[in-house]
Amino acid sequence: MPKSNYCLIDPDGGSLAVKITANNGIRTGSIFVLWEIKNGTWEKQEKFQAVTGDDGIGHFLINKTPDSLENKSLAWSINTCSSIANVTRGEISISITQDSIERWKKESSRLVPKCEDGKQLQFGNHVIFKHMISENISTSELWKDTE
Amino acid sequence: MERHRIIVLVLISLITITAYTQDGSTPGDTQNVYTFKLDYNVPESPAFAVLDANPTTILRASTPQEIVTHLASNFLSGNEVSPGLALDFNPYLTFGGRLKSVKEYRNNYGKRFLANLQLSFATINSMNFPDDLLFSGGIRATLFDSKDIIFDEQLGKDIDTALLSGFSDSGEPGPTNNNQGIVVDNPSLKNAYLNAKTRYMEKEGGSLALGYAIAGRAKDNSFKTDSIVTYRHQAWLVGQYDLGKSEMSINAMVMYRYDQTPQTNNNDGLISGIALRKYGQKLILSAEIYHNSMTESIDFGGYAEAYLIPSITLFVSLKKEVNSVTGDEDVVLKPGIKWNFSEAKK
Repeated sequence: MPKSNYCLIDPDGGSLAVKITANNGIRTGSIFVLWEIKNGTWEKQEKFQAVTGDDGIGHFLINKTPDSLENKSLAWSINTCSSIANVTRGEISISITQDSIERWKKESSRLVPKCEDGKQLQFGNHVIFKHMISENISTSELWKDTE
Repeated sequence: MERHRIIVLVLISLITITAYTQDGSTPGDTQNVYTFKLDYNVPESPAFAVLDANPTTILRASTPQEIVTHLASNFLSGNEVSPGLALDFNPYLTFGGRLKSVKEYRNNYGKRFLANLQLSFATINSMNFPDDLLFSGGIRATLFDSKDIIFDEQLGKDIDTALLSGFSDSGEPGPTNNNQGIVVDNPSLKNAYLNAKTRYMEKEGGSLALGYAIAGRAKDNSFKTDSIVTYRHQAWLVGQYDLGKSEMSINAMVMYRYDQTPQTNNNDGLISGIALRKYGQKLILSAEIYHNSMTESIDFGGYAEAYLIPSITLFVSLKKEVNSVTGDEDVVLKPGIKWNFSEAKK
């Protein structure tokens, strides 16, 4: 898995906020699902919907507390199209912030079909949450955790 | 040549009549949504206007919704074939201009102004100057349009709903989802636009546009510096008011024209007039009357425009024309074809 698919979060920090943006009058409708692996199989934990609408911004909060998100996967699928004539390319981004600190961000420039043509671009990806290791923790304490 | 012209006229007439008989269909039931934009929102090419290559004199004022490259060609006029080619595009968006969102388009007049600019270039072989090539450039700005479809908030909501419902049954992303992108059909999006079209047709509203164009003449089709002369300047202001459910609109225009043709007696003057247009699903009918202070005459014209084949618009106009070289007046039946690349690429 690419390194960019991991999101390091503070287990003791605040809730995670997910933001999706689209410029140039591009509209998006998306589904996000939080998955947890239990006994070797993935189980759905939470589901969210988001639209970027007229503002070009959509967001939601992940209900699960950050300390319970270790190794969980947030996956998404996005439908998008262009509502302004002559604009068929735009930037779409997804970012995850915690306590106003950006923990993870992915931007892509995409060619999208026109909404009026009855077509949409569908794409998606996922990110795995990992807890950050405190900078102050000593090596001996790390060994204790391992044991 | 005469035989060819008759065949073309009969063909255009037949197609026009066919279009008229099919005009009672439910809005949008067989129409490509794009046609709706052609019918109502794409104004004439400014560069063609300065060359008198447009079939009408009174121009439209509406917002050019489809402002991608637009090509028109094959104007058949009078006794001789007079082909012309125009290229219209929006300079702001074509050269990298960006909009943050739909909201910015609605709230920021400057960005909206830039996004609706229309830059136009054209060339035509004119019967007035058979040995020369006429070429032109023009710019057109929409100052105001109360019927701009991007202001339709319901359309935005319908698109959002369609996008959210546009996931298949197994549309939930899996835990290791990695879909790089695929374009799929979403019929709900088309329905959203068809509903918007009905609202648009029934809505009253006005628009105002300003334009300027300049034309040049390449003597003997040569583009050497000493062979190119300026031929004409013109600037115009046009207003349009759509009457709503009657599907009619009134256009009023004032145009200042400065003609540098040596043979012309009155080199500058105003062309002002009004046009009444009736919009059908596949046919636009219009009549216009205007005063030309350069020729000190009141002129008239009739026009029919049919949208039957995707990307092709057929039209026929009846109009009094004055040969700028000889000064002869003649009522000319002018059939023609416009080809819009922005639709053809679909």
